[in-house]
Amino acid sequence: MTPPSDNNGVLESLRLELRRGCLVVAVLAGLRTEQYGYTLRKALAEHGMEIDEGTLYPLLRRLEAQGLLVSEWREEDKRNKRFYKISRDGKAVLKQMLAEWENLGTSLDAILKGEAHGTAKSLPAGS
Amino acid sequence: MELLNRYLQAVKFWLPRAQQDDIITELGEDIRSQVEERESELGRKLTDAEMEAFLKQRGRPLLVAEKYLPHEFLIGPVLFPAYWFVLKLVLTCYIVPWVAVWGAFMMLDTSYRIQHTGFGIVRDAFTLWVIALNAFTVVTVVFAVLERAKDQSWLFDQWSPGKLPPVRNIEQISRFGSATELVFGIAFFTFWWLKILTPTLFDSAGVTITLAPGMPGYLFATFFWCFLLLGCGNIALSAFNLVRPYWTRSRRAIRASLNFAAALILLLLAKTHAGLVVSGTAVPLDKAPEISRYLTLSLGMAFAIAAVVCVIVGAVDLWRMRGHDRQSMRHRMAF
Repeated sequence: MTPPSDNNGVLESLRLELRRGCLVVAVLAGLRTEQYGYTLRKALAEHGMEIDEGTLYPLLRRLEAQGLLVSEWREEDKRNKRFYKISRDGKAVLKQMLAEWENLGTSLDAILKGEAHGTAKSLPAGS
Repeated sequence: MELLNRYLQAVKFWLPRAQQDDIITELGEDIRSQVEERESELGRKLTDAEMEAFLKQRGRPLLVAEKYLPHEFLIGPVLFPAYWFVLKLVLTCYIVPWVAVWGAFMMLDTSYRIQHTGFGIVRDAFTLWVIALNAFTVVTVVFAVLERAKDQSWLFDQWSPGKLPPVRNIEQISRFGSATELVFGIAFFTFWWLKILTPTLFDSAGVTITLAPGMPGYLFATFFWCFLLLGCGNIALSAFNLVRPYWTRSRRAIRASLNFAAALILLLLAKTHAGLVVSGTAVPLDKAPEISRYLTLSLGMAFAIAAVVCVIVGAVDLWRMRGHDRQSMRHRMAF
């Protein structure tokens, strides 16, 4: 039997894995209004989605490289800040991801309630 | 903020040159905002100790920078299992026999032992290190090249399930293998019976190879009969395997016993330093002793290598015997 301390490690790793996919949706949703990194991080934290700067900024760069965000450097309070905003492509992707999120939630609810037999039976044999 | 600048400089060092300034400005801005917020909560500036604790919480500069770097692999997770398998194969088939043969020589050959003690052992260890390093480097370079090429569709997409090898049953004996063993066994038996009784082993094209005189008659007779018995045993086993091509515990035990016995005899034979003499019209007189010495040494090495191979084959049989029932059941369940 796995000792409780090991279970905690496994749980933490699974929790991080689960959060990783959600973060992209949260960031895209958070950037429907223009923000710079620090305020975005605070806004996400206020909604219970804490994210450290070492995760957020590389993620923002990756999403920008994928064309889902646009950014520009501007001066605010005599300091240079990089403001991010969701792009047109980003909006379309966010819409699709939210639909996917809803589907996943529905499927998971059905599985948890033990109503997933119909779905399993509809799969072709051998799949 | 001097400590913060030092921290940012350390992070910057590890970042890609083209993005250094961009990332550092943004990261610095975030950290400064956090510091200011903390200071406004406290109503005072952070002390050096507090600043240090705050930065320590952000993480080691290398680890912070690493998150901005592209994830690159020398050998990625897709190829790593194959890479690991080949490395283990090289270790088993190349380095382990090398060490085993070296060990056999150290135990059996007095002159070899004298030459290879003291500084000699350091030289041997270095040789082994070079061999291991070369093997490791070649395997790693090949897999690193494959890693770069794995996105080329021709390398991984051009495959067909129909071309996969048939399911391998380790309890099944190849009839071709048994037939080959039988042919070689009979050939060896004939050679042994006809040739070994005369001191001339080879006589053709002006080259004659004979057994060097010196081995006592009773010792020669013992080896002669031992090999003859082993030959008979192997021929009988191959013939039986040809008729009933599947392994049983008893047949594995017989093969293991034959191999361990052969290893023992080969090692004893190597220890007797059975010599060979080369002569004949095609062999220059002044070179004959040197050629004979090399031939004798090669014969000793061949005995040692053959002994190691016999031990490995015998050990594999014992290991498979141990898990015979379990493996058979697993195989039946899997396929």
